Amino acid sequence: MRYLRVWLFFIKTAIIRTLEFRADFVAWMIINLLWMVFQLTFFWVVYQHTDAIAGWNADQLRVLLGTGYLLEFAVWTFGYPNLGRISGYVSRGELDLFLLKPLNSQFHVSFKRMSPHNVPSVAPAALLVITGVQALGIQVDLLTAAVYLALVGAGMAIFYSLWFMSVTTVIWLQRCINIQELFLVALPAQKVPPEVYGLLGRFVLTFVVPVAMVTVFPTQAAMGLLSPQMAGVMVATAAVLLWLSSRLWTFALRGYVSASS
Amino acid sequence: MNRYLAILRITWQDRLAYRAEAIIWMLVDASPLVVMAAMWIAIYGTATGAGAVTLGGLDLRQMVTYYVLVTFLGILIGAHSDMAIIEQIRDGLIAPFLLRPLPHITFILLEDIGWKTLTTGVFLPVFGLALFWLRDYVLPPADIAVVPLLVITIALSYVLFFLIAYLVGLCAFWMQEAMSLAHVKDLLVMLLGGAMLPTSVLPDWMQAVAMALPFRTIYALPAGIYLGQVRGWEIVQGWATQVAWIAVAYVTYRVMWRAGTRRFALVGG
Repeated sequence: MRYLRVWLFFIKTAIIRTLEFRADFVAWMIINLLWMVFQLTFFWVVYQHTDAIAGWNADQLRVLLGTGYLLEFAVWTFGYPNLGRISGYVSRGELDLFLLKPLNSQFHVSFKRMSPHNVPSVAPAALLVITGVQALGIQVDLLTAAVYLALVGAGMAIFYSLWFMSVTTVIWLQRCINIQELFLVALPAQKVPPEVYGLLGRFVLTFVVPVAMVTVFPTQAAMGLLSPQMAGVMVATAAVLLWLSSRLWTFALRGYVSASS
Repeated sequence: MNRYLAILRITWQDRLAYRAEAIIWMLVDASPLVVMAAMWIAIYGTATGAGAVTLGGLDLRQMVTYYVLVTFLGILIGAHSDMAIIEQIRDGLIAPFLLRPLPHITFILLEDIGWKTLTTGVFLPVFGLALFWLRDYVLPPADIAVVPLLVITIALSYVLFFLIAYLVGLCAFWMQEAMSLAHVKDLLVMLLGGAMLPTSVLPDWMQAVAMALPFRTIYALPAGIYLGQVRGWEIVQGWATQVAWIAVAYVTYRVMWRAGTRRFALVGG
């Protein structure tokens, strides 16, 4: 509860900060939406030439893409502004300030900032999912919707944990490096039908480095194709990875040598 | 000549300090190739009909080769100096350049070339790996005789792309939000330059727009020459288009630089 209150406060400060630079906000908002339109153009053009990509028709892919954009929305709004700075905190010794606050330091470094100009892109993402499901003629009850949203949340948790763990290594590297970019290599991979990667690649991306799971499982849930067991596996994966990320963080901090004085 | 080499050497030394960063950026740049290649293999797979299917006049092997080419060209000629120039102008760091004996554009060009030689060198092993993975799909040049022509085309593409990025950078003299303009440039190059899709796959009206703009000569032209889709007089026409746009960009540069620095002096005092 206290953490929720602190988080809301973080969001409020971020919004106030953004309101100082309104033209910038509008410009970036437009750019973000343009990128999305542009990526959708790619699939639109491809579907002019074919009925299905790896067995996914245009409507099914729309749900997958929408889910992928929901994840990307979280990545750019909440993930990158925070995880992208950790390397800098470590090399400038600013991490000390986080460690001294009466707040869980992992929570603090992961949620302190956000970029509001990404928020509007949540609307087209949701629209893709909703229109896709409608076009497929699927009746969505409240339970399915709830499971879908829970799995999207679990997907964000999985992505966050893996990403956070990769960034945590910077404490040992002890220098400013763009380590946060490394895990983002996985970002384009999750908006594509997993069948594309062949059997081995699909297994690796689902269960070894579970980035395909992140969007595909919720998508299947929305289309009524996911078994409850698999939904359970996904939630459990999210929980385990979150736990692992906090263990790794505390373990890494034990070896932290401050860079400041 | 010596002073040019000196700038190159400084760039190398400067950039070598950031080896690890360079490697990570490269992986980020190259990762779409893996996704794209896998996806096109699947797209052609479901379009069925063995190897006979073509999209926009390209069969599967040509399509995969196209993406390999475009990824490599992206590392070799991708122009991103606009971001640095925007920061220089915004933070006033451009002022010292105005006093130096070489024009600012020469510094930026040499820095870019220095950076490119390094990244291309580091990228080659990664690229080799990708080629090995895609060995069943990647085609050699349509005709070995086009290789020298290709070198000329790529050199012109580089100059054109560099100038476009530089002009976008100069917009920071007038615009607070020039950074978003840099993204618009990237978008246009991706879509109409052929970096995301071969331009021949685009709907007709988009192809018409692409024909009227310089971007398609950056990626789509060299890739088309390599694949043998563009040949003979079409190559010469392509060069003419490139040279014409370079001329336009250069004149625009002269005008913008003069007006911009004058304006900057007023603002910066």
